[in-house]
Amino acid sequence: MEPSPELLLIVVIPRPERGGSVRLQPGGCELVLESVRGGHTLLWSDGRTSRRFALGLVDEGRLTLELRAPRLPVRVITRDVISLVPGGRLRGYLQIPLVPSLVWHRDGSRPSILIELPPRELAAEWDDREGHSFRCPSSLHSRFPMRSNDPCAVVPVVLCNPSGTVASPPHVPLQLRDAELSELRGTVVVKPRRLRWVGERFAMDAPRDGVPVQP
Amino acid sequence: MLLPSCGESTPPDTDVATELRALRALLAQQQKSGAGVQSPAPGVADRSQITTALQPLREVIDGLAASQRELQTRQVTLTQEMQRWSQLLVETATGARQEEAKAMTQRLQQLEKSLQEQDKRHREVEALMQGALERTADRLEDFLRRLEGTVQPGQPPDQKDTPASKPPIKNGGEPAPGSNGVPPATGTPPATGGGEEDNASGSVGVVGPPRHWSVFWWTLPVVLAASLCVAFLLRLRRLPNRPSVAAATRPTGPANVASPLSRDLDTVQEIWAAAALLGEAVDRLKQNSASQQPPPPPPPQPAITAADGVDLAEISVLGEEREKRVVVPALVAPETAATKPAQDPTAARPAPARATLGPVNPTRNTAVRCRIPGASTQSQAELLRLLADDPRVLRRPEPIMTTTTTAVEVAFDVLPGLPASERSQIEQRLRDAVS
Repeated sequence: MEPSPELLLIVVIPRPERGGSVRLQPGGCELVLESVRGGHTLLWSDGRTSRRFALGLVDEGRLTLELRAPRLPVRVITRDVISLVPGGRLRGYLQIPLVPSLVWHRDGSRPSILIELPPRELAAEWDDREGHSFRCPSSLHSRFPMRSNDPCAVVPVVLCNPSGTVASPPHVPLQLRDAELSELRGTVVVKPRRLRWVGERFAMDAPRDGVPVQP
Repeated sequence: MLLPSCGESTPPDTDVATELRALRALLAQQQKSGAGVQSPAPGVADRSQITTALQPLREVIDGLAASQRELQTRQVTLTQEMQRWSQLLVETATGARQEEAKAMTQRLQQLEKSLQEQDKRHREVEALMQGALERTADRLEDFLRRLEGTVQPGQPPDQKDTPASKPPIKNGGEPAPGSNGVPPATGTPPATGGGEEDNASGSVGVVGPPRHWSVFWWTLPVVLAASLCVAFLLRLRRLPNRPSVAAATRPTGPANVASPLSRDLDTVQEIWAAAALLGEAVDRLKQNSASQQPPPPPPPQPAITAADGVDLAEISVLGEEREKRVVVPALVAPETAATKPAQDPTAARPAPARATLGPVNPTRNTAVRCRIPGASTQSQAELLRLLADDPRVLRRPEPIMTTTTTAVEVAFDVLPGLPASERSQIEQRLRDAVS
């Protein structure tokens, strides 16, 4: 199976017949679901490492591979140094890795995450003040990023500096939700974020639909 | 428009090759057919056909050129970044950092040495001051006795006093005239004898000035005057609260006699009370100095800049840094309410439940400790690499390894909400890497 040219948020994994297998290539990874005697095995590989999972499934229900937003707040370290003069404004696009997750759906019950496969770009860390968070690098694209197979979400951001000092932020704080992920032009995008520099950090305004977002 | 052409590289290449082949075949056919009959205006028709035929080719080539330019820009950026990283790595590994560390070490040694010298000088000055205080107390007692002797003129001065306390206060406390206020050095007798000094001053000198005064003898009158002032001030403050002091020190006989000397007696009583207070103060000073002697002396609290030019503020900063370096970081931070991060409570999409642990725990209870027997020093690097490559392991706080004689104990943190099976799988990966 050739790699999918478009990123799909939800891919239904067909259940293989006894002795058969199903191969998927979401992003740069590869998934092989095999039906073996006594259950199923899932082999996951990202080209460098591979992991093997043993799954016990039932006939009623379906298995999906979903691209989900990182559960923790993300600090995006921009590869370009950002400097905003007082009153300055900057628009661009950031890319945040998504987490491929194997989800089990069954009628009448909530879907359950069986396996999460966090990408290497998402480095988790603990901060005594902020708690758990992810840290990931990204370029601040001036145009909409080119489509690629990497499972990333494109976040349009508007950075503005209403303060009276020059802002040079160390990172851009973002928090994504699964509900705001949507497919567009073969990529996954979220609603634009507008961040204001309030001294030592960015504060996030509410997105356009009015739903407040925790930075 | 260029994006689709940039993304898919294989089909346009095939199209281009096909177009080129068709064009060549067409040109060859035209050349063969038109060799005998030359059309009057072949260029116009051919040009339009060629332009039409090359139109898709041009678009594809434009797209390829744009893609190539972008790739070139990316390549340049990546190369520059790689160069910066390699330069940083080289700088960190060798070169100026080591020299700087050596220079810092030497500077630290110099500062410690100067600190020890300062401490030594401080001790010497402290000892001299203590001796001067003792001598001052002795001389004060002698002075008070002599004052009492002025009330009873017939009584001779106490002959049991030390030689330093024998001379009167003027001769003993004040420097010799013509010395510009500087007392004679220790062991070097002044050029003029004691009798000449007595004659020059014209005071009531009973005994000549001693010849063995110390270098700091000139501080005695200053300390004495200050002590007297302090004593009088203290007495003025304490007398209403402590009437017993005056009563205890009041002499019985002459005080009760109504005589012309009653004023002098009152003065003497006041001086005795002041002397008692001064004695207390001196005793306290002695006790304080004695209590400070046995333990190692505290670091000097000097002025901003020492005499040798060493800025002692740097020493304090270095000391603080040293203390900071000594502090061992705690493996697991205590869980407090202040350390709880804000979490996104819910998601609008049907939130899937965690397979094992349910919702994310905002507190940091994600520490994992495992003991790996038989791990060597070489395998520690491999363990650290494994932990660094695993996205389930937190980058900060960094994994900590404690080496014992038989095993290596690894402590690290994992993602909150990570199932127990994955935790144990990480541990097993570490054990497998060692075995």
